[in-house]
Formats: sequence, structure tokens, C-alpha cells
Amino acid sequence: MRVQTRKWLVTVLVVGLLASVAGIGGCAPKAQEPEAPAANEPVKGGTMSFYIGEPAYIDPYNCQETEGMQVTQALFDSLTNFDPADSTKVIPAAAESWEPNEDATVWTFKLNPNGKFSDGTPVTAADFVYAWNRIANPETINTATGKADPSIISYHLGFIAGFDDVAAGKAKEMSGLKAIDDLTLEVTLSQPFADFEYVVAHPSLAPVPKALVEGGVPTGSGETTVAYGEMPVGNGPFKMAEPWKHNQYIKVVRNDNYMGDAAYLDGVEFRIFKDPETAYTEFEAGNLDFTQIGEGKINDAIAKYGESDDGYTVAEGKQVLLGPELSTYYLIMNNEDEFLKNKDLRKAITLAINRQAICDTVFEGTREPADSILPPGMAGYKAGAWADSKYDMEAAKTALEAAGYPGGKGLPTLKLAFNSGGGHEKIMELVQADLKAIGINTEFESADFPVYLKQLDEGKHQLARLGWVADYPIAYNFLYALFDSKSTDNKALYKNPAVDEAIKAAEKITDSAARAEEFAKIDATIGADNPVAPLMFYKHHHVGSARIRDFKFNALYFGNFEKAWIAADGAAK
Amino acid sequence: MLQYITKRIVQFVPVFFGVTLALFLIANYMPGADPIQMRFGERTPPPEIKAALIKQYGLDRPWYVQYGKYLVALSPVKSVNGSLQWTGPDLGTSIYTGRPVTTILAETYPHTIRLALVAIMIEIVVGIGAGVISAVKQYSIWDVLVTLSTSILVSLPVFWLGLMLQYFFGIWLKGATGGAFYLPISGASSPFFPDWVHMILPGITLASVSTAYAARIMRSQLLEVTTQDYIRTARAKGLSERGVLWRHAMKNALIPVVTFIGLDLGAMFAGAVLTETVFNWPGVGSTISRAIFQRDFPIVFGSVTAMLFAVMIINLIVDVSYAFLDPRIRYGGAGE
Repeated sequence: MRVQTRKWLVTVLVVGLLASVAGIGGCAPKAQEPEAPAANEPVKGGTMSFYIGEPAYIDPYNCQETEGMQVTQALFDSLTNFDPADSTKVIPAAAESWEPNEDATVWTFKLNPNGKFSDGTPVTAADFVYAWNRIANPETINTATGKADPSIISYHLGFIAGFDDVAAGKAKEMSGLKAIDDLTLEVTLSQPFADFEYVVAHPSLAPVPKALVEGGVPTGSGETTVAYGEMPVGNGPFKMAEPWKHNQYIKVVRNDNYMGDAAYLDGVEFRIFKDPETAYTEFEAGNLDFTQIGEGKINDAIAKYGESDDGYTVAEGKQVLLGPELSTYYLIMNNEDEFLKNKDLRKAITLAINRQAICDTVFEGTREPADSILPPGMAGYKAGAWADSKYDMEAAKTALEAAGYPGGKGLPTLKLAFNSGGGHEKIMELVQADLKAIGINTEFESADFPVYLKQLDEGKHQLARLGWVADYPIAYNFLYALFDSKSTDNKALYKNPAVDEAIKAAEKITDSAARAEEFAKIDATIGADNPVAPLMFYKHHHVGSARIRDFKFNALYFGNFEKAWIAADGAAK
Repeated sequence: MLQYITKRIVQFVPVFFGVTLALFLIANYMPGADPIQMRFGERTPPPEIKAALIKQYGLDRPWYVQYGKYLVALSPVKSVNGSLQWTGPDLGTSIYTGRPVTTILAETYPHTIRLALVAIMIEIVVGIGAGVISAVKQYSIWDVLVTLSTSILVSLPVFWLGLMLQYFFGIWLKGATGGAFYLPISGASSPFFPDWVHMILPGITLASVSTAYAARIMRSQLLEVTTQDYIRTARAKGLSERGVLWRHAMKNALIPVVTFIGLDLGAMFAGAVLTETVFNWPGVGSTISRAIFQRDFPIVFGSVTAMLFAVMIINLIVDVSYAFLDPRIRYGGAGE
């Protein structure tokens, strides 16, 4: 660092001297600029270090949490990819084109003929068939143990014809999955699903090479092989440099066999931390390029590193990312409860909650008040879609009166439930105070997470908190899961046959803009009933180093490592 | 001696069954002990997948069947195809990651042991050294310094000390020297430093409180011992002060210190959750705390089993070492 500074000083002095000599010379031609790349031109080289917690899996078949997904999406290309510029769109990835039939029940994907795994073997449609059946089959072997270890994310494939038979152990392969030829994959669904092009962008649905999954992956040193799950071989812009060093790091390097543009970065080092606070200390010490900001340090970080313009892209001096994520924190109101089935009471509750105060006092502004169950950045989101999802004391009081409980009279103390240990108590205290202000008394009921979920399953709750994170940026992912009569995640027990029908019908619309429009309408319909009270949208609270360029960390928590680069004059590490 | 060791090993049997049985009962009767749900987060697991996982991990069986299976798997010798074979102990598979618990322990335990040994070295050298100095030079400025600094160290929260060390050696020093000199503040290895440098800050942090205690125990023991008759006798015989101190006083004064350090080493072998978390040390402590949080019982059972054996072995070594320090202590004899 110091050496570089000195060199730079010397250069400035020499250039200055030359310039002044040239100036004295009068009309001498301007000294020629050295042909250094312009500061905003990407250059190749360098390794970016990136904070993650220890993943549960990086083998795509069981890759679920954000930690493992970061690695998987650097190692693999699924059929499509979420557009880094606009997360509501998908762009070609392993598939160069695709087409649904008229009612979106049969999908034909044409693979990119240049697609290769990092070991050089071409990617074929059969690799997708193999990978997806591996996810669906409950007997699938965990490559680390050689024992059966069913995928917990097989629900991604639930719409493919024959999935139920495979899940039930009646078949080994899904009947709806066909490799027509090496480059054509045909997928038949059991019901129309126009959003399928988003589902197949999920990193866990990437192709895997059967020979290596079953035979192990050569580590490159000698004859040794490791389990596929320890060193997955994929078709993405990066490949594993060495087997996963558990609890320490995962190193990936540029994949020279990649079909797309070669990555600028030589590699990415996913550094595994137990505690984001330690990672942030490392960041402050200049040893880490991207991390979460420690609790209570957001404002300090903004002062030091500057806030990103769009909330997702890291630029020098604008390094703190606070863009909304595709997840919502909400309060369930049990729609089958003898009191809460009253629509006006639900309306009063949702109007009484001061969401801004919660975001400001508990989260330092790293959450945003929710005005819909759908978060921004998702196809179908419209600002203010849930008209009552805002703070309005007077309107709340009026609604409470309309519900038949003026000033809360006649209403018993309601149970306000949350899972203990997740920091929810602070939020619920504010909710409790807000409800009290219009005359609704509540009492806390908290339990350990698994117990809490069991209680919700039993359906005896009244008010309870939950959060929902999108797998893909589609409204279906929220609206079906949370509000369809048949969905097991519909903990508000909201039942509206018209909504069920509308969701089904919307999935027949193959034009994505028209579909988004339809979902926006459904969202508003549900919002008018206030089955839940959306409280907050989650936001990024991340920061990148000054030396990384063009790095985008999108609303779905994916970093575009393939496009990022490191400034040549950046800090040493 | 052999008889004594055998006796201690036999005594270990009820301890082993007591602890593991208690764990199995807790795991089965604690509310919310649903490790499968923990994997799905706030999502409702598809019932068939949940059922398959429950069956796979044997969670549908009564606790005594699970316990029996655990004991059988733990046995390093098993019957394979009718003949007894050495298979090594099998501690099961992690529910959260699907990896074998023995592999997880083999990855994490060496780091825990390395860090514990470094911390114990610091404890022995600095703790005993400071204790001896402050006892020998009682009421001197050194004594005051040791007493004062040990009081401070004992009252400092470990994670706070760790954070301060990180800020000072990792951030401040790096800035002040323009990046020329600083210490790594997390992890067990990096391309920029040899591995041993990574142990400095966590080692100091882990050792801090115990070093202070060791110094205090050493000081008080040595002061007590030096008032005893046999020390006066030794002095009367004309032995040099150094001879009195090292040959006579120390041997006796060390016994409680060795006991303390031995117990401490045992505790460190169980993993140091705070130090490991602050310094991101890939040891067993944080693995266990995560496993407890996630209800990943196979990891909890496996690591507790490993710890039980580790603590037993260390206690045995400590007990045996008494014999070398104090010849009056005899093992296995009628006088015990």
C-alpha cells in the first residue's frame, strides 16, 4: 500500500515535471497519455472475499438457505436466470430459449449448445432430467454419507407431472420430464403454470453430471476423489478450487469452460463466519470485500462508506446496500377465530399499527413499512396495494366501532404470539402498545420456534407473527402459499374460493406483463379483506469494499460475481 | 498405579451412562424438540418428506430404542455379516447437514485442542510465573501489578476482551502502521499469515481469565507453603533461597494449581463458545452450540460423548501427575 502510494507520488512528480518542461517548450505536442485502462473499464484479475455462514448444503439437490445458495449460483447455471438489472424478469442461462404451450402446461427448453460442465463435458437435457429426479426422489443418496437423504426443497418441482408418484415412492422418474434430444428438454406440468420460467431459474434446479455425483469428484491432487457434495462440479461461471473447507471457507475460481462471458474475477473466496459481527470487524480491518453490517452499526457504516444509489450496487464511496429484499414480516390474524373473523376488527388492527415507528426504533431504518403483502421488486407489486396497511388511528377507531367494539368494549384480551429468541419481542411490544391505544388489549404468548409453529398448525392462535421469503420474484410464491385455501402455509386460515380460482386462472396467462397485472388485482382483493397485517419489508444491510466494481447484490440475495471486477488501484486485500 | 487407573475407568462407566441417558431423556421430552421442522424454517414441510426424515433419523422410535441404537453404533467393534469387525465408533449423521458426526468432530476437534493447548501454555507460563513472582516479591511493585491486573482480567467479559484485541491488533495497528504490521483477527488460516499467528489473539483471550486465577492460586499457595515448618527446616539446613523455592516450596504449592489447570483444560476441550465465535475459530464449541440451537441431536450426542472421554482422560492424567509432584500421594495402596 505504502509502496504503491510512493510510486504514485513519484509518477505524479515526474509527469508534473515533464508537463512543465513541455509547457516551457511552448507549442510542443501534449505529452502522450500512458495507455492505462480507464478507471471504469473492467479489468481481469483479483479474488473477491464474501461473507457467508456455514452452509447446510452446496450440492444443488438440497440447497435451500441463502448461505449455500450464494455458492451454488456461482457454480451453476440453471435453465434461466433472474435478470440482475430487473429482478422481476428472467433471462436465458443454460437454456437459450424456451416456450410454453397455450395454457402453460408443456414447456420446451432449448439448451445452449455451448453449455459445458467445468470439467469439459457438455451439458445435455438428460443432465437436467437426472438432476430433477434426484431432487424429487425421497431415496436420493447424500454423497457424503452414501445414505438416503431426501431433498427438502423438492416442492420446487411439485407441478411436474408424475412428481407425486416419485415423492410417494411409486416411481423413480417423473413422467412429465423428457429429454427429447441432447439440447431439448420438454417438461409437462400437471396444471397450467405460466410462472414456471421463474421456478427453473432457482439455483437448486441446475444440471448435475451423473458420473461425478455417483463416482466422486477428482480433487486434482493425485488419484483422490471427494464426495460430490463437498466439491460440486457445475456449468456456471466459477468452479470449486478445492473441496469445501467446512467452517472456514469455500474457494471458487473462474471456469474456463463457461459458455458465457468469462468472469473478470479470478475467483471468489466465500469466507465462512459463525457470527456476522466478526465478519464486519474483518471488513472494517480491510480483510473482507462484502459482508453484513453488524447490529446497531448501520448509521455509522453509512457515514463511513456512503449509501448505494440503487440499494443493490456497490460503487466506491457508495458502498452500503439498503435495497428491499423479497420478504415480508407480517402479523397473522386467525380468520377462523370467533372474534378475528370479523373483517372490521382485522381492519382496525392493521390500521392501528405504526409501522414506521417499528422500522425506525427497532431496525435503524433497515426495514421498510409494508403497504402490501407482496414486497417491492416483485412482479405484481403495486405501492399501497393494501389500502389499510398504513397507520391511521382515527380510521382504526372508526373500524373498531364498525366491528361492534367501540373503544374496544366487549372485546376480550387477545393473544399475541411470537417465537422467542428471534428479537420479536421488541416489535411485539410496539404492536401491543399501538393496539392498546385504540382499546384492544393483548397478552404475549411466546414459545420456542418448533413449538410455536406447531401451535400455529393447530390453528388455535389469534394474532401471531411470521415472515415469508420469496424463492422466486413471482407473486404466486406469496399469494398461493399464504392465502390459498389448500396451502399448508396459510396460517391465517383465509379461505376465499374466488381468490383460489383467480390464482389458478392467472397461471394460465403466458404473457408475463398481463400475468403480473392479474396478480396485482388478486393482491388488492386479498388486501381488502386484511387476512393478515403486513408490517415490514426486509431490507439489505450489507456493505462492499471500495475496490469492488459493478457488484450487484439483488433483492433475492444473489450476487452477480460473473460481472463484478476489482479495481486495479484498490486496497491491498 | 495400574489398579488405580482401572478403578478410575470403572468409575467412568456410571458417569457415561448417567450423562448420555439424561441427554436422551431431555432430547425426547423437551418441548419443541423437532429437529426436522428446524430445517424448514418458517415453511411447512411437506408431510411425506417430514415423515421420511423422521423415519430416517429414527425419531419415530421410543427413546430407549434410540438410546440402544446409539450405544450399539458407538461400539467400535460391530458384527458385520456375522463376524466381529473393527468398524470404529459411529456417532450418526447430522440432521441439519446430512454429514457424519465423526467427520464433523474430526474437522472441528483438532482446532479446539490446538487452541486449548496454546491457552494452557499461556496459563502455565504466565499464570504460574506471575504467581511465583508476586509471592516471592510480596508487596513489591510487581506484586501490586500482578494483583491488580489479575483482578481486572477476572472481571473482563471474554468476548469484550476479544473484541478489544481485534480492534487494537487488527484494525488500529494496521491503520497506524500503514498495513505493515497487524495480527489476523479471525479464522484458523489465511494466505497472509502462518497458521500459528492465527492462534495468538484467540489463545490470549481464551487463557485470560484462567491465567489470572492460576496466578492468584499460585501466589496464595506459595505464600502459605513458605510459612510451613519444613521450609524453615530447609532454610536452616542452609539451602539457597532458590533451592528452597524450586525443590521444596513449589512442589507442594503446585498441586492445587495443577488441579485447576487440569480442570480448565477439560473445560476447554469442551469447546470455548465465546472465544470461538468472536474469533471465528473453527472449533467444536460453536458447532455444538449451533447444533443445540438447531436441535441437531446427533451432533449434540456425538460431541458430548467425545467430550466425556476427553475429560475422563485428562482427569486421569492430572490424578496420575499428583504422584510425581507429591510422593506422599500413593495410589491403589491400603492407605488411600
